[in-house]
Amino acid sequence: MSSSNVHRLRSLDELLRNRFAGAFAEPTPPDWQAVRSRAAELAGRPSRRRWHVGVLAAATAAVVTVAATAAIGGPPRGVVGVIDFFKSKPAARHARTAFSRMNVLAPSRSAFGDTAQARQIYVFHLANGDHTLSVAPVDSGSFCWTLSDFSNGCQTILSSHGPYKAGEVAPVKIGLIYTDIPTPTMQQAPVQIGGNIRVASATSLQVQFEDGSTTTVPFIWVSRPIDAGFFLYELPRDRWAAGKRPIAVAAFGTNGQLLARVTFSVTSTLEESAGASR
Amino acid sequence: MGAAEAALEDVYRRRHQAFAKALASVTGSADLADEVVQESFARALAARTRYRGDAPLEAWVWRIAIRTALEFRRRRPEFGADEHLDPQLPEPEGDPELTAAIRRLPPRRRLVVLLRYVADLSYADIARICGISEGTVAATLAQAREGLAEDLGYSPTTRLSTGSTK
Repeated sequence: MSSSNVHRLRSLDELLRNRFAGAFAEPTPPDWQAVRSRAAELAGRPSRRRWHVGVLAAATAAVVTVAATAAIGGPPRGVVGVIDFFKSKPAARHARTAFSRMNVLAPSRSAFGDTAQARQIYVFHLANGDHTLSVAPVDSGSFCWTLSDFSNGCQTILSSHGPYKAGEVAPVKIGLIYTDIPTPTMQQAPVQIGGNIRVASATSLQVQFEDGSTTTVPFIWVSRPIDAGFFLYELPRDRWAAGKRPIAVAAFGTNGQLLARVTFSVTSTLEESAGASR
Repeated sequence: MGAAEAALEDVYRRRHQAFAKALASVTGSADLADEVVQESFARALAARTRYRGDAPLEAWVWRIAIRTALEFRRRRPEFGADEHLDPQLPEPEGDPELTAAIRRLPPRRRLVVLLRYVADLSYADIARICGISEGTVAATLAQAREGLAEDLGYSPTTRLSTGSTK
């Protein structure tokens, strides 16, 4: 190839490269944590152990104490804040993508439905970083949510009236998810607890520990059409040790009455816990 | 974090834009391309033990990414059930002249062009990704380049007169 042809080729290469560069929008920033979470889902095991306790608890109806609570207009008192869903800004693209994957808004249309209704609600500031809560209503009247770098899921609305016949599923009053890590003693220890609460009359939320102590956990309330509270709590290290670990999350009303309670299955080994959670 | 994961993360962080832009031309949507990039790297991460190391890691991910893009594209009702690779510019109105020139190329040649000029891949990597020889890549690109140059008015005279390529 002559030098003029080489020059021409390089020039043409450069021209085309520049032309193509201007034809594409800038993509969203990379998010390796989201890749890892998705890889863990694909592999069928979470990168950090994560048990969806709330649904199981509701299904058995054995560990949830359900009080008859009628839907009350307006937000419960004592919460950290009340977020107007419709005044919240649209969810970020990565959250909308997550909702698309959950197929929440237009399941009949495609796997990638319209996620325009998804809203960014709140940012929980924890020691390990910020966690952004986004929610999206679902046609069925329920909702799905994402908490960045924590978890995501959907909460189904079920019948709110008991007693329940055999095989029926009780409503989920507290949807609970926690992450745990193997501690130096290889005992299961929840390190983050999060989830949602569907009891409109709840005014406080409490984590209860093995040693009998309790701590109040703040939560925010999201207005209709979500109509639920959300919380995320990071446990201090001294709560990782056996005998001091959390055993339950409970919601209380204005007069201190117990409205709902869901327990952890804290066992001595991770394997035992996995068996108990299934 | 293991060495394989660290290597994948490195590719992801360095080459995220190239993947997203090139895959947008396969999926037809920048939003969907973001999703495909994430899914592709997640699949690569989940299957990293199957990477044998007989080709560069990035080329291995590209193969996964293109398969994933086609799979995701098929799920889009607006694209129908077309299973053929038919890369296009995701926002044709942005550069109609380039769009038209690209459309005149056969689909496989379009992919090679996009992998070269959008993803900035070497001939060797393109060859591995497309399952063809480097010679075929070179020949394909040469043909595509001539066609594009003609359609876009990049004649030798034009380049010399504008001086933009010196």
